[in-house]
Amino acid sequence: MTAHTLFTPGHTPADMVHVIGDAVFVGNTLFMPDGGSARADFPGGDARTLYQSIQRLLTLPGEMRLFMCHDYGPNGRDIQWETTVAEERDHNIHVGHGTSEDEFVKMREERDSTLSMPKLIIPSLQVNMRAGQLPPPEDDGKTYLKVPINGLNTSKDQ
Amino acid sequence: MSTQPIPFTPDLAVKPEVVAFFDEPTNTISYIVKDPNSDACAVIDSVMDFDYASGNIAYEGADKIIGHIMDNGWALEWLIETHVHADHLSAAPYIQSKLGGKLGIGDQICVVQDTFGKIFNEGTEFQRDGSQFDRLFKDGDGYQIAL
Repeated sequence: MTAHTLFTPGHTPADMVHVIGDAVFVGNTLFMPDGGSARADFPGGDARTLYQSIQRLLTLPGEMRLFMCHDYGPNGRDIQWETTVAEERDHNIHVGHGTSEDEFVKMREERDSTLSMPKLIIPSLQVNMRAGQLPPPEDDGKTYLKVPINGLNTSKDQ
Repeated sequence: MSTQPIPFTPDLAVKPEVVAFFDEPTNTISYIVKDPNSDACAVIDSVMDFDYASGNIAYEGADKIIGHIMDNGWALEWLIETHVHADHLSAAPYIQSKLGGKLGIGDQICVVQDTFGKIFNEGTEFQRDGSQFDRLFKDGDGYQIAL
């Protein structure tokens, strides 16, 4: 079978959705309809770009199966990871019902300003930017990760 | 700004088998997606176990994915990262070392590597050209999961 990529930046500058047959792996764009959308406040993230990427994703045929990268079980429901394009278009709490770009950006930026950084962001970035490899060992043969003090400045004017 | 069109025609007649693996500590779902016409498969967004408090890493979650592929006699063709994740560590190199396959990510990884190369004050040995990956995807690129 043939897989295709769809460039969907916004959460980060390098997000790709993968479309494989009738299955779509959305990465960090959308969450389940009751979970909304991914945050857009990491360095290089942008809410307006994310809105455009999500709109593009939602032009895929309505019956396509969507598979989430994350689910947090909002409002105490069980963890879920599969929905459809049509369900997201109709019911997504952040982008459904024809939410406008400006409405989305305002909501997303307000919400992002209340979120703390993910617990593992500092180790995750150092490993994942190396394709999942740990940094090279130091002269004692051991591997270390850094913590930049006040270095993960996520303000928009950086 | 207008929405960019989809640069390919999805083939809805192809219905791949999708196996999900939920990682509770990071709320991440990893997938095996399998070609209905052969034993070829891909793994999307795998997770390495990392205990921040101790600094210990482990591969219990990744081993479940590897076990499922081996038990079914499937062939791993691709390891896909949808992006540079900020909430979990990838297990792609570990799975690749056990099962093979090519590691792919979007070609804008270079922008991300440049941003975080600066934030973590990485030296010149940290390449910011995406060369750590086997394939850098452009928008609309196609690739085969087939034998």
